[in-house]
Amino acid sequence: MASSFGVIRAGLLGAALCAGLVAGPQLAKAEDTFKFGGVFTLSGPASFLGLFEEAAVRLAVEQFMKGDCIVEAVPPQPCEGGGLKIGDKVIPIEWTAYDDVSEDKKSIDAVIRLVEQDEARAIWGPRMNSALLSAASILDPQGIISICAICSSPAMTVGRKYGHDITDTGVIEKHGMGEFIHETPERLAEHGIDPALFDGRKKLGFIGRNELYTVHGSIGWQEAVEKGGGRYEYQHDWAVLYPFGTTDFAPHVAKLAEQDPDIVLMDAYIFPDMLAIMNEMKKQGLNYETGEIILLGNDVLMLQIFVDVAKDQGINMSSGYVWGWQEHNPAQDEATLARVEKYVPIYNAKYGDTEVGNSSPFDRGAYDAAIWFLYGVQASGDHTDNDKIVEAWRNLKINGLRGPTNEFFTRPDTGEKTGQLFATEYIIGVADEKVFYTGISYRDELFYGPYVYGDKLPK
Amino acid sequence: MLEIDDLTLAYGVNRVVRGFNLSVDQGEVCALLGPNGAGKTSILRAISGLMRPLAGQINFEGKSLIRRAPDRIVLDGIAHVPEGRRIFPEMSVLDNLLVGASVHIRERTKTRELIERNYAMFPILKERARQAGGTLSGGEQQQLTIARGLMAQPRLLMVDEPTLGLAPAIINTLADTFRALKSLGLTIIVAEQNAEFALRVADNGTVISGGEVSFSGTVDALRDSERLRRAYLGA
Amino acid sequence: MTAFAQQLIYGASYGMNLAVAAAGLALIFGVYRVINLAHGQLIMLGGFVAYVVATQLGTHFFVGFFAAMIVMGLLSIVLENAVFRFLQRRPLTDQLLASLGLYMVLGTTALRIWGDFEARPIAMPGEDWALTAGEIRIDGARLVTIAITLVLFASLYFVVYRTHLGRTMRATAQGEETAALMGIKKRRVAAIVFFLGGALGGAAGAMLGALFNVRPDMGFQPLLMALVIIIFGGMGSIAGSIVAGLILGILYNLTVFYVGSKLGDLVPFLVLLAILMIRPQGLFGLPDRNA
Ligand SMILES: Nc1ncnc2c1ncn2[C@@H]1O[C@H](COP(=O)(O)OP(=O)(O)O)[C@@H](O)[C@H]1O
Ligand SMILES: [Mg+2]
Repeated sequence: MASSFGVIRAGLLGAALCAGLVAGPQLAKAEDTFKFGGVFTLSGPASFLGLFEEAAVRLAVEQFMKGDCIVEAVPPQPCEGGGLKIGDKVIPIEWTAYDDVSEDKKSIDAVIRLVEQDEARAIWGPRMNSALLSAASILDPQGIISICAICSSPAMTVGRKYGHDITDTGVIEKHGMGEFIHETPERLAEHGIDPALFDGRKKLGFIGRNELYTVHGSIGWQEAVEKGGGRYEYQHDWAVLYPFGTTDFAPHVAKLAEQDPDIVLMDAYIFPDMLAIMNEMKKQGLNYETGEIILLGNDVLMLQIFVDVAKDQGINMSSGYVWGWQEHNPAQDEATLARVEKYVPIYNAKYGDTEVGNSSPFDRGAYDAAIWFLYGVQASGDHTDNDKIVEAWRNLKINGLRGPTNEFFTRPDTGEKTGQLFATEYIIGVADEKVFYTGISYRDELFYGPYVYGDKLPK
Repeated sequence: MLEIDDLTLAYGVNRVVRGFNLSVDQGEVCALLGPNGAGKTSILRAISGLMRPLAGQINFEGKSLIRRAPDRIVLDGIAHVPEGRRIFPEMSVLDNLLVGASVHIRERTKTRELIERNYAMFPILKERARQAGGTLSGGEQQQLTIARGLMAQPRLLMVDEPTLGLAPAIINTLADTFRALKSLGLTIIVAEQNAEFALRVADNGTVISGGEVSFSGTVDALRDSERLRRAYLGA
Repeated sequence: MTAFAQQLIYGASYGMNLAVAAAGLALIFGVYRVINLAHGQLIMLGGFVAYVVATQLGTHFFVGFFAAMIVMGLLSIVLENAVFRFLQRRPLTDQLLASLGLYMVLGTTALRIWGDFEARPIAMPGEDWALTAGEIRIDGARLVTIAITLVLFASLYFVVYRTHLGRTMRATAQGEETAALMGIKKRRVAAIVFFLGGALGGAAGAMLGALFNVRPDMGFQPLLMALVIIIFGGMGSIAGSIVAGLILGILYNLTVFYVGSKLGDLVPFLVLLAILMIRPQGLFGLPDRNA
């Protein structure tokens, strides 16, 4: 359905372009500015996922126009203000954002409007899985660059020449936890972790809300187990995937408990879901306070604020049996810290009192991505040729707010650059009610399997 | 007791009753006669406040009933027993009667007395007190609707087509009931297609056809009238 | 076998909560003949009121619980006056669309006020103990909600079948115009029915919120289940609600446990389809009712 819709749209756009050519001056005018736009959830329940990303990209455009980019390209790119420096011309940047209010149809309408009316060369978002796939079918045939800094989905990049995912994905994250549970006792001990932590544990479990992100997560979890060569047991169809809007988690946790797992990966990211699951787990013998199981979670589980909230509800996460990851480097070098120190006051002054709120690692990732992209356009030397832009951008690195030399992942089989961020996962634990970084991180080991790179996403 | 002047009733733009006049005296039994669709039910609905007249006056004991809410009109002393034996089918006979006493349900002794009086007049209802209304026979249901109407302790009782669909023997009992009610001093309006029944129980009659009065007078005058026949034959 | 028994207990407890939500919907439909989809948001808002009163103001669970009942009862009266009054004699599609609109409005408003997915616990009696029989466990908090449900249903039964108020409600349900001829005030009955319906929604919200945290999306699944329950139990039947609630709650749990977690949501709809095909009048409904 979505793809045939895409074809029709492409045809319409073709006609529109022809009309544009006939109308000559209009097109010439379009060349004078670089236009890109985005589709975000800016209102409604999921707006907390969209507001900061849009705010960060908007700020990046403003800073670029001002000539104060804060983050640096490797090799260096100029940031002198007024716009993109292309040859001896300075091309102003125009940014347009639309709100999809969490509705697939609205986000696709916005994508079409950006392409057809606003003549955007690149489109940020949409975030939601279903919309993301339909958007891809509209954008890819027309060679429009597609970017997302929070999508966490293989569907952004795998098999997509113009797609870019400037964060990790559900699959890469699970590969990270997979590395961790296969860690040697020596390395664990070296980082102050009980070397016998995983001894005698065999069976793995997985629980999350039924959505594409967790389905990919569970697949990544199985791949990690297979990579380990039989030390653990897990199959994707063991995953307990509860429906949207679930209130009573008892039967879902019971289903998990019946599998009698030794280690459970909880791939939920909404506080009430997580708390309800964790409460139920304790009641049903999946106790991570006593070491009955090891509970693995994600970057939301490892937020200090979550640990605090959980404590208020009588959940102790400091048992040494609860671990998670995060994508943001907790141990930054001084140059990065200096960049962050410069950026945060600017961001907070602009958004601190609005719905967007104060800066967090999430908006910093989106800011990095936006400046990185603009540097990439500049590096291409031709802001009207998307093939050149993609080529130049993917070969550029960035010393950003997230740390030095962020780069795109290079496919080992073809040597080509992909649009997937070569992301690192940092293993986080909780002790004395405080989250801490173990010092263990993974990157190169995580990039394997058909959901990370390839010519086509498996069905 | 009841005075209706120049009453006009309409559903949308369709005027179904035009320039209707009626005067009912205390203690009288008045028959409202006419074929199906003549406008009898509409007139009763206007009196009990379910329908707002387009024009005209309705006065009861000197008070205007225009724009008065149905529950006020019940309190004023008018009970309307609707056509089609509309009992509450899933409620017990006793509950049906108690609903009829809604306007003075807090006066327990009075309610109890009214129930006893009804049981005396309609012994079958006492027998069936706990049974769901819907399980009664047609005649019993008609008794129940009248008894329920009496529970409001009205001074004017309006009964719409009581004989519809009832067997002749049951109609006879019903006629006795009306005579008994009249002997208690109750004023009654009975709307009927069944002229024979109406003439048996009423003192005076008004014939309507096509929304207009075609004859008004005593039952005796009515009995001899050609007009009655004509009203029904539409001549 | 223990697993089965355990699921029966979980299902029964969840089903009882759903039955309370459904009874509110059933009552309003039974007397007023309107399907109120906004009921789902009354459940959610009830949870929030209980949270604000019990947790934020630091009072007891039961204070929050009664506050939720009263506030939702009153809000429900406001909705009747502002919206449902105009929908009563309109086609079912109008009612569904308008009340769905109301569902959205209330949901968005709540989000504006309370933001998104924070954790909002309500402390509840019985949280810290459980009955155990062998391997089977019943949480104290779930027992408390079962007890509350039974009390609510007994009270509701008393009001509807043992008071004159209930008699006027039943009479209105079975013949609105005839009831008006008995001097029953239509608007007053509507207000009472909406108050009770809203209060039951609020009670369900307070209980669900205390058991599983208060959240802006907590009204959706209970609404869905409640709709199926009232169709299953016979539109407007209170006894039907409790039986259907129990059956549906248990079916949901057994499906999740024995068939697959993803399929839990499918159960209510399969049940719905089956009922509509086999017994359209529901378990307790009369075959035909032309009141
Ligand atoms: N609810 C209504 N809407 C429109 N027309 C009606 C309605 N009720 C009755 N009528 C019309 O009004 C006229 C009088 O009806 P009614 O008062 O019921 O007569 P009767 O009781 O004498 O049979 C008829 O033509 C009937 O079709
Ligand atoms: Mg009639």
